[in-house]
Amino acid sequence: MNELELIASLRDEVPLTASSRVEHAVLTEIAASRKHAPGGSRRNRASRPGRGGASRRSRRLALTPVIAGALAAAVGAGVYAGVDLFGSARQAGTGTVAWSGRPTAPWPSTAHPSYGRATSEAQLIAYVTRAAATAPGRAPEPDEWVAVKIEHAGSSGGEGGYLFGPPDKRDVSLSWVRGDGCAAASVPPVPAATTPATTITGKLTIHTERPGYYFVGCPGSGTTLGGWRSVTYSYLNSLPTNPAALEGVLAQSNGPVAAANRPQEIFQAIDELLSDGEMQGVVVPPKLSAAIYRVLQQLPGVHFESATDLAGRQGLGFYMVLEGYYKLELVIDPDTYTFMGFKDVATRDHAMTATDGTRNIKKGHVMGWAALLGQAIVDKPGQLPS
Amino acid sequence: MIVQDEGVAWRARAAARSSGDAAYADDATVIRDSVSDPERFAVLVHRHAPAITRYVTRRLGADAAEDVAAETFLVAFRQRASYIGDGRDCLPWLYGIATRLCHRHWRMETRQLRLLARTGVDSVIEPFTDQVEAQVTASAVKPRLAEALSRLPKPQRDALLLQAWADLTYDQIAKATGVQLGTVQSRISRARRRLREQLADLNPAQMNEGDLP
Repeated sequence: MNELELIASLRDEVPLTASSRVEHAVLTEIAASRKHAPGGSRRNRASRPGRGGASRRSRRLALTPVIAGALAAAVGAGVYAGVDLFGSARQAGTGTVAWSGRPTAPWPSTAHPSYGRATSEAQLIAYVTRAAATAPGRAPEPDEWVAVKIEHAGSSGGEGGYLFGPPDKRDVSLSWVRGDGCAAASVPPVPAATTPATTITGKLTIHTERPGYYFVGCPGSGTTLGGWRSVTYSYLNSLPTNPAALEGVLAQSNGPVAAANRPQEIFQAIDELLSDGEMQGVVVPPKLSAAIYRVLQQLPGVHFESATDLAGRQGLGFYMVLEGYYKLELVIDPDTYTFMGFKDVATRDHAMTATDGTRNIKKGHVMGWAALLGQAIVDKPGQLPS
Repeated sequence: MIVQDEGVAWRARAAARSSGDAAYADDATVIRDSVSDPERFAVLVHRHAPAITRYVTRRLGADAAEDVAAETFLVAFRQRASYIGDGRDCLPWLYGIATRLCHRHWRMETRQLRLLARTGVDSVIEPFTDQVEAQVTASAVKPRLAEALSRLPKPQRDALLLQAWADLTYDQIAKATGVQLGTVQSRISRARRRLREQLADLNPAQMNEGDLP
C-alpha cells in the first residue's frame, strides 16, 4: 500500500448512504427561499456564512445569469482576447473566452534597473538593495492582473511525492491572478518544447472568488499561503527589513511542515513565499526580496552556489539540505535579482523506504523542479506583457 | 390530497419529477433547467447528497457534517446559474464547495486528527462502528496517518483528500479549488512526499496483515 492508498483507506468505515436529513434540510430551505424570493430577506439556518459579503454575493449571483459561452471574444493580434466583462463589472463565477497567443515566447525584460550581473551572494544583496531603493515596485491595482509564466517538470518514470525518473516531461503554463487576489485565469499548459513562434488557439478560463473557490491572496477568503498571515502586497511591504526582525516574522510564517530547527522553519517559510507564492501570482516587494536574501545569506545551514534553472538559465542558488539527503534550492536571477525557480536535488544516495516499498534515490537525482519564467502586471486576463 | 404547506407540496412535486425524466438527465442539464425551474435542483440533491455527506463526514465527523453538507447544496443552488461543467458530473464542483465550507471547522478537524494520533480512537468513525470494534481495529497505522494529515497545510490537505477520498483527478481538483493544474500537482506531490517521509518506518509487511480494512 502506498501512502495515497493508506489515506484512502482511512475512515473508510463511514458509509455511503442516502442522507434524508440532509436532503430534507436542503429542500426545505430552498422551498422557503423561493417563498420569499427574489431578494427576500429570510436567511436560512444552515446558510450562515462567516462573512456577510458571501451571502450578498451569492444572492446577486443567483439572480444574474452569467457569462460563459455568451462571451464571444475577438482574438487580438496574437496577444489576448478582449475580456471587458472582467474590467469594471465584477461578476463572480467561471467563464471561458477564446484565447490566442504564443505561450513559450519570451517576455520583454522588465524595466527593472540592473546594476550588473551578480556573481556572489554579497553582490546580489548589494545590487538588489540598490535596485529596490530606485524602483520600489508596486502593488497591482485591484482590477489589474498579475500574469505568471511557469515551466514545470514531470517525469516519464512517474511521480509520487517526487520525480521517480528524469525530469523529462516539461510544460509551460500561463495564468493570471487579479490584483485583489480574488480571481484567476489560465490557459491549458503546452509542452515546453513548443517553439516560441508557435501560436496556440484555445480557451482562457476565468474563475472569480465565490464560496467553494479560494485564492491565497483574497482578503476574507480565509485562506492564505502556508503559514503566512497574509500575502497581500501591503502586508508584505510592511514587514521589517532588518534581518533579525524579519527572521522573527518568517519563523512565525512557517506552515505545519517538518522542520528540525528554526533555520529550517525560516528557510521553508521563504520557500513557501517564493516557490508557491510567486508562482501563484503573489507579488513580492523588491525591498522584501532584498531583506530575504540577507536573511538567507546569514542563515545557518544555507549554502550558496551557481545554479541552473529548469529552463537552462544560469542563476544564483541558495540551498539548504533537508532531512539529511536532499537540498532544496531557490534560484535567483543574477540580472533582475528576482526569484526564478526551485530545484530539489538528492545530495547523497538515499534509500527511501516508503509504504509501497523502497526506492533508491541516487545522489544528484532531481526530485522536483520548476521555473518561474515571468511575472508581470497587465490590464486584462489573457494578456501577455509587451 | 390537500397539501397546505408549500414546501411539502414542492418536495412532493420534485420527488415525482425526480423519478421521471430528470432522473436520466445529466447534471449539467439538470442544473441548467433548474435556473428557470428550481424544483429540478432536488434531483441533484438526491443524486449527490450521499457522496458529499460521506466526504464531509470523513473530514469533520457526523455532527458537523450534516450542516456542512446541506449548506454545500444551498451554496450550489444559489450559484447554479454560473455553473459551467463539463457535462455529466457536477460532483467536483460540489466537492469544491464542500471543501471550502470545511475550512470553517479547520481547528476541529485538526483537533480530531490529533486526538486519533494520540489515543488511537477515532471519534469520527465511532458512530459507525461499535465501541469494541473501534478499539480493536485501532491499528498502529491510523494514528500515524492522522498525525501526518494533521500536519499538512490547508491547501495540501484539501488537494490530497480530494484525490484520496473524493477520487478527483488533478484536473478536477484544479477546477474544484480554483487553482492551477501545476499548483495541484505540486501540492499533492509535496503532501505525498511528507507522508512518505513521516510513514517511512512503517513496515509494509505489517500493514498487509489486516491492520487496515
